[in-house]
Amino acid sequence: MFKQHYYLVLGLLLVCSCVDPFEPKIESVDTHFLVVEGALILGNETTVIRLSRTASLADTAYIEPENSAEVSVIGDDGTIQPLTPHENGEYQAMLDLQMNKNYYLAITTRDGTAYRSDLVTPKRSPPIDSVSWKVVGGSEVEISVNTHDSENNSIYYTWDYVETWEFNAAFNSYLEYRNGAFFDRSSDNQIYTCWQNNRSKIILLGSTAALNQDIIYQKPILKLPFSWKFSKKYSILVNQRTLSKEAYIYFENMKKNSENLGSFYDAQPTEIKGNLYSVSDPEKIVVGYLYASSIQQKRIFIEKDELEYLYRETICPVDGLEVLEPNAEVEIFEVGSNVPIRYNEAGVVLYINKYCGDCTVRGFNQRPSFWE
Amino acid sequence: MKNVLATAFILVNLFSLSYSSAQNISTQVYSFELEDGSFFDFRTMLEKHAGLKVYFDPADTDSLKINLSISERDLKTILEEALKGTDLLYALDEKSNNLFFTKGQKIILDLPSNFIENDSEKAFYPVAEDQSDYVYDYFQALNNFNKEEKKKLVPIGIKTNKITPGKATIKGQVRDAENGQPVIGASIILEEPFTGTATDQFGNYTITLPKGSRTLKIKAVGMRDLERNIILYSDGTMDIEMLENVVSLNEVVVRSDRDRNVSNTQMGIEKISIKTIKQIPSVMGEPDVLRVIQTLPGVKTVGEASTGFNVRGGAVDQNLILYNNAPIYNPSHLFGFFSAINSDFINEVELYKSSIPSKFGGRLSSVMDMSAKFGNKKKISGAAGIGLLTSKFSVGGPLIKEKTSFLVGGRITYSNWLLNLIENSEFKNSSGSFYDTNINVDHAINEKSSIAFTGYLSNDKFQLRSDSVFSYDNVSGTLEWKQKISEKTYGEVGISFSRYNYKVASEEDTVNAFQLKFLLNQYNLNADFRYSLNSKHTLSYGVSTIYYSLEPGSLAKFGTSQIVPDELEEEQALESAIYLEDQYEISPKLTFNVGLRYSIYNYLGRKSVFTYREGLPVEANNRLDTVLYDKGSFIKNYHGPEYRLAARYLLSNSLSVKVSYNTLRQYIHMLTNSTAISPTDIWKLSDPNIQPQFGDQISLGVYKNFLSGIVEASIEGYYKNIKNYLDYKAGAQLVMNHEIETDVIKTKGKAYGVELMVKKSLGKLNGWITYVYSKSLLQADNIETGEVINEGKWYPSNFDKPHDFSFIGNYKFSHRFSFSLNATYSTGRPITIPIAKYDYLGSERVYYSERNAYRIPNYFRADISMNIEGNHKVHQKTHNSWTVGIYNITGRRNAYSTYFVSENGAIKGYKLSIFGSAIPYVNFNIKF
Repeated sequence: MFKQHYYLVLGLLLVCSCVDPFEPKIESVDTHFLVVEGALILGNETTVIRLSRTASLADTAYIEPENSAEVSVIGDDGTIQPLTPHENGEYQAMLDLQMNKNYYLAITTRDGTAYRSDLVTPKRSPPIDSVSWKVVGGSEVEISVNTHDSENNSIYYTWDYVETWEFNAAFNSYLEYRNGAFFDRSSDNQIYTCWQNNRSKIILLGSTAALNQDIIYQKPILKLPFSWKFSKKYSILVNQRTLSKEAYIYFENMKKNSENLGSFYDAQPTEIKGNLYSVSDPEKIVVGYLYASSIQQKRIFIEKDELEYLYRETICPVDGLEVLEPNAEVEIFEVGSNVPIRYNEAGVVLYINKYCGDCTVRGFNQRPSFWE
Repeated sequence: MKNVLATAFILVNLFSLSYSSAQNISTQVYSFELEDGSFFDFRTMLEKHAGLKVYFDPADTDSLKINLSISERDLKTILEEALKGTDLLYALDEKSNNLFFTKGQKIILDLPSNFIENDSEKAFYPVAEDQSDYVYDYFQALNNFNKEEKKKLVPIGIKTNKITPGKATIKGQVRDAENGQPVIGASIILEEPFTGTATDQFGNYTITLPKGSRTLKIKAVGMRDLERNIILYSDGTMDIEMLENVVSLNEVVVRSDRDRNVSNTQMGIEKISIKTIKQIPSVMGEPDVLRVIQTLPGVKTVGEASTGFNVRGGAVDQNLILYNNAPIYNPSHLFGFFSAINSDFINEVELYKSSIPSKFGGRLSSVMDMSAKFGNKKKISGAAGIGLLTSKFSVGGPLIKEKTSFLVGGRITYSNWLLNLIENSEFKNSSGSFYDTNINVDHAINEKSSIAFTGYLSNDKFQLRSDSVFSYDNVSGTLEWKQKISEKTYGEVGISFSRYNYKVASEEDTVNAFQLKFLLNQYNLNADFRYSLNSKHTLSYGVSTIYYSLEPGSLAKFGTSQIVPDELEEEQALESAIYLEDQYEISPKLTFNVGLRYSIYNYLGRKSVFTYREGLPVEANNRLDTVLYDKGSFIKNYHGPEYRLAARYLLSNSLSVKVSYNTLRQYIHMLTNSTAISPTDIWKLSDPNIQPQFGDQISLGVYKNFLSGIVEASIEGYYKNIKNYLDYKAGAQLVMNHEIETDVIKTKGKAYGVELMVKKSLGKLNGWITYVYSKSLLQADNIETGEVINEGKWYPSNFDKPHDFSFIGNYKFSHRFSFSLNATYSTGRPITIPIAKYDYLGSERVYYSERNAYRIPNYFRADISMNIEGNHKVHQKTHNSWTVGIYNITGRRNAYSTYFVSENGAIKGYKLSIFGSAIPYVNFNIKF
């Protein structure tokens, strides 16, 4: 709303203004920084460190993961705990970390460059007291987190979450089409009830530094407009970790730089150096900040009946079933993207587009182990 | 011949009289009785008794005293007797009964004997043995006059046969012979031993000199230089009438006070007459004060379309821009394409960038003091200009002859038609317009006191490509009383009011319709005095107080809109100061300027103020409490001394060294998201969470004049420190922010540089060349004051442009045709750009370079313009002129800004040029 003057300047260009490509000289080697994502996890959870590379702005390619690196966690008591490589640049291990010890991450990338982090001290996260939700403005669900640390040690928090929701296809399919024939659908192959999930993509931070007590009260972490997520049952798992002050400042800055979309007249962004660096060239940029914390989790469920909201399928009309023409099976089910639903009174197969009859188009049909 | 004379008369005041008798006047006899009469009396007698039409130049005769006691003699004898001992010559045309008095050169009334013959070479310059005494070209004659002038001696004081040793004082007034307005700031200089003074606001001067025979030089901007040979017997008076430089009737001459460069104690002052401003090529031919200021050394701008300027590495808001003592908060029209003040209402502009007089305060970098122009006190006159985008008109004249004058006028734009010419549909919804009006009235109550009023109003309104309409207003009014309290004391008391407000409104869209408003009012009261203690000490002292009242923002919904209305609390404050400054002349060579200013700032209720936990960054997470203060209560006080010190040592008459040290405080800040001034910039008063800015600067300079002051050269170096300058956190939101302190960073700043300037102020070729090397750096190294930038290292400020070169040149081909060339080159300003992208926590993010680690491409531009004057006949009803020029003649696409957009998965950079091609323009001006 207040950014309009950008257009004004354009408007004054009159007959003579112009826009030309601007390609500042950025050395391409400069744009291949190592990116280190993840935290050392204290306690019985897996530590996942993901390595990747930055790409130059002009690159349209996907950002490439850094595979085949050697990654280990080294304690100031001399203990070495290697992480096992997985795909997509991920390195995993169950670590044995002690609260009163310090650790650093040592990385040797496949080009032989050694990186390490500063020593970090594990912090213990207090349990999440509750994850609460409320309807805001009659059309949104706001999910908040509550926690406290009676020892006043945690202060800086970060959260991420995984949403999971159960939904149905618009039509329940009782038939399966296999090898040119129709069979009754078995219950372990059902495609009517599915689940979908979604990981948080933003950096969530909280601080109690200004408060006399280390209490996070009703910190909103997510606002969800009413949607198909609430058509049956919705669940969210919130993970909580605690941060050092420096890590908090680092992530706060990363959030500002990348989550507030820049425009012509915006204030200028700043990058802060993290606690990871190249051993041979400490000035070399490494993106990311390593911290160590225990992880606390809380899951809640929201039933559709708890909301004054009824999800309406708008794409699939109730009377949308079509009658299968004779000898059209191959065309409809092998070439086309349709699914058989049931027989009609005349014993002819009724079918519909997969989007309306097969929930696996939009999710997965294995019931998650935690689902209630 | 006739033409030559006609041209000559432009200079000469004409005094017509009763018509002549038919008698042959050369044989007629008259009786004249005149005791210690003025030339004026003599002339009256001649007109009355002899029926002559008398032509003369008052400047030649103003100090003449005539004693005559003649009976029954012919005119020739009488004239010879009267002119005895003077260098006046006369020429009597018996056919027309015209009598001409000239100085040094006698006018020949007959055509040269060979004139009729078709020998053009000889026709205009008759071959005569005493050619140097007889000239037909008045301009050539003028030069000869100046050589001759030294012969004329003006006795001052009570004539004695023997001059007693010692000093005596001359007083008097310097006036413009054309309109009777006092000439302010004219310098009266004695070269040996070096002594000088300048006229005050009434044109009065006082100078104390050793008695005896002396030569005084009188100089003023835009005026013809004068020399007076005097014999100083004792204290006396001498009034001086100066003539406007004839060629500057319409033509342009770059001039400044020639000797001031070397002799003045203060340094870093740029004084520009409006005539200089008018000659410099500008966008669309409209003379522009700020654009000229930007060609001076140490003054920079971030882009072409910005009127805000940066002085010596300071921020845009650190300049105090005054129009007759009232600050102008947004000095631009149409986003900086035009200056907000019409140049027809400016008399003179002074920019102080190193020694800032104690009188001024409240800003760290500079003071730009525009003095208002007042009307002609003798006759009605006016001016009009027509350009492609703007037109203006002004008229002024006496309300009470010789006492009261007025000057009113205005300027409007009609740029909409240009926008409509653009076929691009993006501009369909666009319009832009502005106007400004001025009214200036001055009244001379008596010789010692005068009163002046100035009023100014400007408005801008535009809508471009969107349905948001921007508008803003500048309003100011001043009332000033000037009083010569005693021979030694001079005082000025003034009140003024300034307002700046803006509005952004979108009144069409039903869901998002809104109105956003900002308002700033400022009330000033000031009293300034000057006391000439003795020949060594001149004291300046005074008090001032400012009351600020701000409405920092209100957001209102419009119609059925869904916008949630919001209003920021009003802010108010009082800024007062008291100062004393002494100009102490230890010896003619060494002069000191010692000033102390004490400023006091009170942030006043009613206002609620947030408190934050000490030792933690000021941010919402660390907020402790809200305290509500009552109306009128003092929420927070800041005060402290400011030192203003300057010294000058004269190594020779044309070479001096100056040094100055200044400290300054600034209590009001401009918050801006962009590097250029934009209409949603907010002015913020210092409060408990936002401390005032402090600055100090030390400067050293060497000044040398060549060719008796025609060429000035200077080199100045400076180093300055700034504390509490505000920079912004990433993603800062400045508009409608209730906790603005949480989005700003307090930074330290330092700036240093060397400025070189060579200026030629006279001659056919005039202009200046400057080169500046400078750095402007900031540092944010403490997380508690906001944010750490570039790991706490010094980083270049947004306006750090190390190399800066400019050339302004004007070549006068003839009195009616001149050509100007203006060229500037500077380093591109720093920017922060994204250099890489990466994936983190499930999102693609960009990685930025260090703050201001990159620069936009270097800037270069050259403009030309031509001034073509109509003829210079004095009696025609109007004088007109054409200005034709080309802006950005090389058509270089200078980057105004750069931006990055995501296109098909790649992030691409673009640069935007505002004037990406050569722009021709033409303006037509009329004076009457």
